[in-house]
Amino acid sequence: MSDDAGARLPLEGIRVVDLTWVAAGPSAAMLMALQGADVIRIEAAGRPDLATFVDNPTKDPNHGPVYQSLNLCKRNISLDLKNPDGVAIARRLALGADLVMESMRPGRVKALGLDYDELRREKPSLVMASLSGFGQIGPESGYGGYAPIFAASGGMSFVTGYEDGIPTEYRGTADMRSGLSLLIPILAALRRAKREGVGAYIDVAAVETAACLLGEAVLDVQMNDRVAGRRGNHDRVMAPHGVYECLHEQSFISIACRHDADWSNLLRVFGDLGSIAGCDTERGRWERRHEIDTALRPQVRTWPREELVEALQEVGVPAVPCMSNKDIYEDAHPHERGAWVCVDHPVQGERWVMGLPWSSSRIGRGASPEPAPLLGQFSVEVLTEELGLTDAEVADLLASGAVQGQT
Amino acid sequence: MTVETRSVAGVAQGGPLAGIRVVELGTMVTAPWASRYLALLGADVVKVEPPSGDPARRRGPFAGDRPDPEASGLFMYLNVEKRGVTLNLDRSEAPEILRGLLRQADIFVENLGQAYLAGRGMGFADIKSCNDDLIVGAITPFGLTGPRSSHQATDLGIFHAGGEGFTLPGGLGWRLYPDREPLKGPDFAAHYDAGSTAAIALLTAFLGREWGVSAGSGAELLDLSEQEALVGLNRLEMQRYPTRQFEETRATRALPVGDIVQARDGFVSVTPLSFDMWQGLCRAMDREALLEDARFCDWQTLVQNGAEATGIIHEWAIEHDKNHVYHEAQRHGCAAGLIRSARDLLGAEQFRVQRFWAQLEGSDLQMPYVPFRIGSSTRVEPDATPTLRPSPRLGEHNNEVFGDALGWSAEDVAWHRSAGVI
Repeated sequence: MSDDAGARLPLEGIRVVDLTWVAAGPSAAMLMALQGADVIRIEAAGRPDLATFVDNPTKDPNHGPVYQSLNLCKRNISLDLKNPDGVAIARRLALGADLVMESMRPGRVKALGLDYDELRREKPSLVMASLSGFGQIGPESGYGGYAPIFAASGGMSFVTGYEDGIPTEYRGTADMRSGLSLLIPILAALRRAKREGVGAYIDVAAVETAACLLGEAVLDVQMNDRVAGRRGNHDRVMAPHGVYECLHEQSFISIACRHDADWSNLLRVFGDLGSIAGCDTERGRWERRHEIDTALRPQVRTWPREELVEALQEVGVPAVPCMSNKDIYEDAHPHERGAWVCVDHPVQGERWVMGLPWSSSRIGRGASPEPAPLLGQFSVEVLTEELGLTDAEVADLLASGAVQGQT
Repeated sequence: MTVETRSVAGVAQGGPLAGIRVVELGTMVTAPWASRYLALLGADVVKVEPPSGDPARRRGPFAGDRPDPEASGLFMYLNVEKRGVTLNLDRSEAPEILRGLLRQADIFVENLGQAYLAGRGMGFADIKSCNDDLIVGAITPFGLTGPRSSHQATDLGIFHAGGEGFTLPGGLGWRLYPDREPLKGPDFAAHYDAGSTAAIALLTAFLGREWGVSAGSGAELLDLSEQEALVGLNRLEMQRYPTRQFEETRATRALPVGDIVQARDGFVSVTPLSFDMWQGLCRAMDREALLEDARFCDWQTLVQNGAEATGIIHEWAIEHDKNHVYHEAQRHGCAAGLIRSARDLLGAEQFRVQRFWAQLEGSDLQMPYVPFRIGSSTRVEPDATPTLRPSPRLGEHNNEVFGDALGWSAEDVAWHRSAGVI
């Protein structure tokens, strides 16, 4: 697969079998597909991915917009993994791949005979990556979870909240972030597999992905027996550093004052802010951070948000709008940069989704985005083109239900 | 020691990225976090700092709150296993010295800003001719093009421009404080995410180079927008607006049943996602009678009575310790998360068994290693806690790096140091 201009994509020829489901795993496989990898999803016949039902106003899994956002540029095959013939197909596909990714409960993939220790006997160069909430071993490894659980057990929720408030529940990113943790070792392992013919097993845990954000806090416990708590939008060192409401309701701006120059420039826009004494040093501002916030709030409330952003950016102060998904979609900036892509889905019609989250001088945003597959859409193609099965063999598998075609 | 030691026997020494040479011109978190992964996976990473040092050296935390540029917690965490040199970017000699470093490199990652570097003769256009195979990762808040590309932003601004900040807190946190402002995540969260995304972009571009896909096309520039990295992680919420004009706010984030609940000694997130989980939770709470309760007879009815059901969970949790609430819920099949502090993380058996912590050589300090195990089998060897080569002292490797790259003698290095060039 290559992009419109014909430049070749970095992961062309890399074959990925994607046994993951819902969010993080599929998003990681999708980033590979957008960079040219040939990704085949193995999906459970009769049990559509949960992602197909999110935001879906119908009972038809093919109408799922979230699934659309996570599975661009992939092919798929629906298999009954309770049927030995279905498992056999999965195994053949896995052994024909460079990379197998899975996100089942720890232990499941071994029960299917598709675990790494088993597969590598036949294919020493195989790279296999497992994603789970808590990791493959340990007292919590069987625990179920999703974003709020990972953020809690991984240390993020404790430090998020108002100074006088409770911990905060996370959604979305606390799950999706694990996709990043998957891709880094996967790419490294694929590199070595090509060079040396030796594969690897990768175990990614969502709670560990979260805990990596707490490095400073973990060191502070050891250095000073001090436990970082919640402090709203305040920083440990900088002030002012917060989020303030602008003229229109629910319209917010974040302002960070990095140093003395930012402070002087802030005062050029807001006036003297009540002449709070002692603010000419960073320490002085930090000690008076609550007072400064109290003085800033009524000032910020008189400004329309984008005007204030412009006024502060004009003098070099980091002021940024607090953006909802609506704000981001309606903002010219991401569109001009090509961050949004429009795919024409056979059932859902035109859909705007986010593409590759970076751009290259050589290949832009990577592959031309193809819509996510319909369930079972590529089952027959994968059997005939990838595994070389005859029409009769395909018919048998479809008849027995080991493989499900497009419904 | 690289991540191989976090896993199992039989893996080739040196790490999967052995032989890859990286130059990092980074400050604080984004670029340093990106190159940290590469270093821990076996790449040779040279970190270039100004003679006054990366500002992360001043950030701390410090043992006993005694500032020490060689013992700042943030700097030590981000810059393990790297070599360090100094370079004064304001000097006229700097471009030639940087080009010398880049001539032999595979990857160059920076977050000082292409405008800043171009103004000093070190932008992509200035350096690309020194190495046709170079992958350059330029990390900026909003990217190199577009209406916001010249805007300043710290991680606070990026977190709140990435789509998630606007929706925090949801659930109980929002109900308690509906008139307050949206919240940020952990310190530098947005920058860690941008750095992780940058590492992926750099590695895929490098693989294209190594695998001959992009040979002959000259040096490649990756435009790495911090905002886009975050919006990418929020892509599910993002599509909701164009798809059905649904704006996510703090008011729209509550789960139908379940919440952050207060236990005797802390908080737990208890969130039954399905009827099966709710039933398991009823058993965990020793409230079998609820299984017959008409208010909660199936998922739809449970959701309709979600506030009541959640109230019952609150009543149960406050009578018990957080560990009891967490483990009992989970053991009965209900999704639950223990709200762990940093101290709780250090004490948690799960992280220890997975060998998540690494120790700094010559120190008692433990830190998160990497969020993955990589090895030659699924077994985890019961080896000792891996040790990591500490972050470089300021300019520690000037002699060896400038010697290799530029042919400088020790005397040359000393001269440039005295002259304030490095």
